[in-house]
Amino acid sequence: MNPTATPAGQPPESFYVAHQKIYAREVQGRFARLRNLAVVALLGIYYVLPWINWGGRQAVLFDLPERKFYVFGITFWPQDFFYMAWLLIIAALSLFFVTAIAGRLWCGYACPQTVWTEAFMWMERLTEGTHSRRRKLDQAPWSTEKLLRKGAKQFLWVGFALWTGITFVGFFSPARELFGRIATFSLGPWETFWCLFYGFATYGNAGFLREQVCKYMCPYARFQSAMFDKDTLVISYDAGRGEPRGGRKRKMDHRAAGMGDCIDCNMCVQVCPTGIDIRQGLQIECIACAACIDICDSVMDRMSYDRGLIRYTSDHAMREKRPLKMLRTRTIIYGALLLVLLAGFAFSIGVRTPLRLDAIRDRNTLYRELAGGDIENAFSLKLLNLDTRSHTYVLQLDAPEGMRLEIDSSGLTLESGEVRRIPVRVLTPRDALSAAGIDITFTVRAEGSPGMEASAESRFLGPPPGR
Amino acid sequence: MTDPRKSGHIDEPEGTRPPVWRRSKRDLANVVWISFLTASVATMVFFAMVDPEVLSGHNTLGWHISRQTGYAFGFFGLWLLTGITSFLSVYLVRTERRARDFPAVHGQASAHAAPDDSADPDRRDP
Ligand code: SF4
Ligand code: SF4
Repeated sequence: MNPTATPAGQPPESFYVAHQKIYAREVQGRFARLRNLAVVALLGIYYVLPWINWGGRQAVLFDLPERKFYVFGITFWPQDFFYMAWLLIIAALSLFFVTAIAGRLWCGYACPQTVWTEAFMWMERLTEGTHSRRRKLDQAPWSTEKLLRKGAKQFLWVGFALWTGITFVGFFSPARELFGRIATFSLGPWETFWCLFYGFATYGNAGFLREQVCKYMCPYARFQSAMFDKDTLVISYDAGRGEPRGGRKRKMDHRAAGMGDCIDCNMCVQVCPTGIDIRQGLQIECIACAACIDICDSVMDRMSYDRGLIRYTSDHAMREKRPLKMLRTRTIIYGALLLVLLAGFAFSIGVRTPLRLDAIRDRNTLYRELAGGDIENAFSLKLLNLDTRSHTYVLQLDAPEGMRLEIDSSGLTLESGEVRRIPVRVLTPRDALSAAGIDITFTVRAEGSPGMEASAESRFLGPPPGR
Repeated sequence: MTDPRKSGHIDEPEGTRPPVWRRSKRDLANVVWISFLTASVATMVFFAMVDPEVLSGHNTLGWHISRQTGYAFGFFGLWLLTGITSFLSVYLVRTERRARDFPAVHGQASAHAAPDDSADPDRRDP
């Protein structure tokens, strides 16, 4: 699919000049270096993480077949879904917070769309050269060189995309074993499918769609304005300083001639991956990549003007020439909420007991009256050892005087991750029964690990007293 | 090559603008992509609560499926559902004008004169 094709004979839409393909000019500078750093770091984490082991196991593994998540020595179970929901809320709120302070920082430096697009563009530059050489190559008739260059690019792209897909699956199914299965061609059908699916998505999104995803498909890009205010840090062109723009000689005193600092070289437009002109003001298409800042700074250097005709600033700061205002009601509220959520998360992870107990009443009989005058209730206890090592447990009953617990199985030692159903009976003399239903609590403690305990509540049922 | 002092490309004619996508293409992209994102989240939530292995064999057809198959079917099933929802929403929004111009309401045969989405005020391409 070529998303950039324009139907023949159609006039350009709005003020955008329709063209067949984007050949954004390469940029160097402070922010380009920063982004390269972010790309290397983030991609590094992504590709390396599945290969790191922690305590004899893959450090980060969302083991879907086993339904367990391992994250650096902590094991999460489906029962811990609460933590995942909490994390998602924290992530969303962080995004609001960062956006309120610094605009689309996420888009420019951390969004997977940006990061992989950047990586794909490196490969493109490596094989096909700079933007002008790429344009010439595309216009030239097919030749051996063109074939070689295009072939090399596709080879790198497809290989990288495939590797990305395999790595992705490596987060969900142990990476080393997965790789072993790939090497011996014994990959399962679903694993193969997901490797290809994610690889294909990477290829399509980073190789072809690129900024079109940001412009047309990204929900965040659309609702960003709800998080912006006049003090949000955005990339802006200082019109007060730049206008009236125009070409001039390098040595000329442009101020005396009534001209602003913008030399109208159009470099900022040429480098823009979304093809907008930042001099027309903040636009929804701007993904805050800062390419226009870098290029304009280099132009300013060349003209021996001050840098920062295009810069990170806020609407208020630029118009009223005052320093940036980070502390505002909005950012304080977001920040405080975020802190509370983070602290709560850390606390609940800290006190989380890797042990779970459920008590289920025997569904068939409410109670049984035994020959000796005892009333008996049967329960099924479900014990879950969520710790990374095995434990021996002691079971206790908290109930009124006279009630006793009988367990059939002896030796409650559970391996890491083991789930065991324990049938138990609770007995009490009929005379001791004060009501038809009595709340009881089962408690389980790990031997030799103080504080590691869990309890489950249930109800003891008997005939109404005095009958 | 990026330093304008060395590259000498400073007067290069501009011509690197990406084209604007057609309305129908934008709608399609939105439907596919947004339903994909919501289906991913829904899959996570659903399978955190439900083990596909538990469903296996207990469905009407008595199918036995592995967890991995269960996950995959769940994801694509949810994607289908969110996709249909997105599509219908977009469809209803886009055809609002046309429905209002329906001859039965206004007694005018304007519906024939209005091919597809030409009544759409957001339409950018001629
Ligand atoms: S205007 Fe274009 S080049 Fe400048 S930051 Fe926005 S997207 Fe990047
Ligand atoms: S790069 Fe700077 S000087 Fe050149 S056109 Fe853009 S704003 Fe003006």
